[in-house]
Amino acid sequence: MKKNNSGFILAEAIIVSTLALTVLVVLYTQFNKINRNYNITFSYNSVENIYAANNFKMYLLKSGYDNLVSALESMPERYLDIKSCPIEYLSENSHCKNLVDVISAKNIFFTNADIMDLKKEIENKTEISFEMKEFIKSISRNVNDDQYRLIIEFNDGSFATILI
Amino acid sequence: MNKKGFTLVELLSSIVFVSLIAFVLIEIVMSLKNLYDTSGLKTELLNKQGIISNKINSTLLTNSVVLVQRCGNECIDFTMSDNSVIKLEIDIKNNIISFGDYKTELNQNSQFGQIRINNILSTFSHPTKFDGILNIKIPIKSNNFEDKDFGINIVYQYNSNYTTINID
Repeated sequence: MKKNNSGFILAEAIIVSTLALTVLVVLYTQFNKINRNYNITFSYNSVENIYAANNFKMYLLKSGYDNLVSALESMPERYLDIKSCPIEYLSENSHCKNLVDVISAKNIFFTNADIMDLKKEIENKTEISFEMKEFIKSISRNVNDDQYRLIIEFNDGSFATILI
Repeated sequence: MNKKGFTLVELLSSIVFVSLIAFVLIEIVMSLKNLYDTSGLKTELLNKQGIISNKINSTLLTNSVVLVQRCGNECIDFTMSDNSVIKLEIDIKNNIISFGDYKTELNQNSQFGQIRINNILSTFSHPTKFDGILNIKIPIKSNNFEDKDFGINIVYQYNSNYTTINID
């Protein structure tokens, strides 16, 4: 009886299948990454949000900026959460709360312009959302010691940051 | 015995394998198609939003506004300290917005909503600090993104000793 030598052995079939599947999985995950980054670009630093952040900056410069700077420099944390318009730092507290409401801010952080320390500090903070951490990680470093930064998370899941 | 053809196991495993590949590829193609369909429209809407927002905000920031008043249902007049008047007007029927000399039209798949104006005055008064917030919302809706608003949200802080808001 003549042996039929056409076809593949099981090992060959498995190896090819594994290779093909691996390539597909890598392709799919990379494509998902591109898709996610594409959506993210629309939610970071849009024109609307930059102007909203600028409005808050204008308010801070008139009503409590020096207090915030002193407080930040004396604290161990590298950021101040000022969304609730803390009265110990910010005057015209009612105006501040109205402004936060009008610009639809969910979180407002006041921090140094150089956020390298902040990036390390927030890694294990559970009170900060994953999306906020991702946004902070995406901010480029500014080594100017004299400047400070506002980081705002809005209710619609978008973000903005502005130097003061 | 006829030895041509495939065994049942070979057939089943081939079908499963091909189905898996097809499923992954179809997912990728559908996502790409969705991206292609929506990205152009979304980019155009966001660009429009950015340009209009920038135009209005930059004008208000660089000029001293002394009076804000309505000049119609979808019309607001901004009077500056040099007595010049800049009109913000929405022509909802023709989908056109104009602000001073600037004019632009939305594409046919999107439309302006009615202007919503809110003036919030704080209870305190101060000679130099902000005590009022004028909020102007101009909705922009698109047929392709029903749950998203690409509208303009103008926030203007002012001191009521210098700026009068008359929007009733």
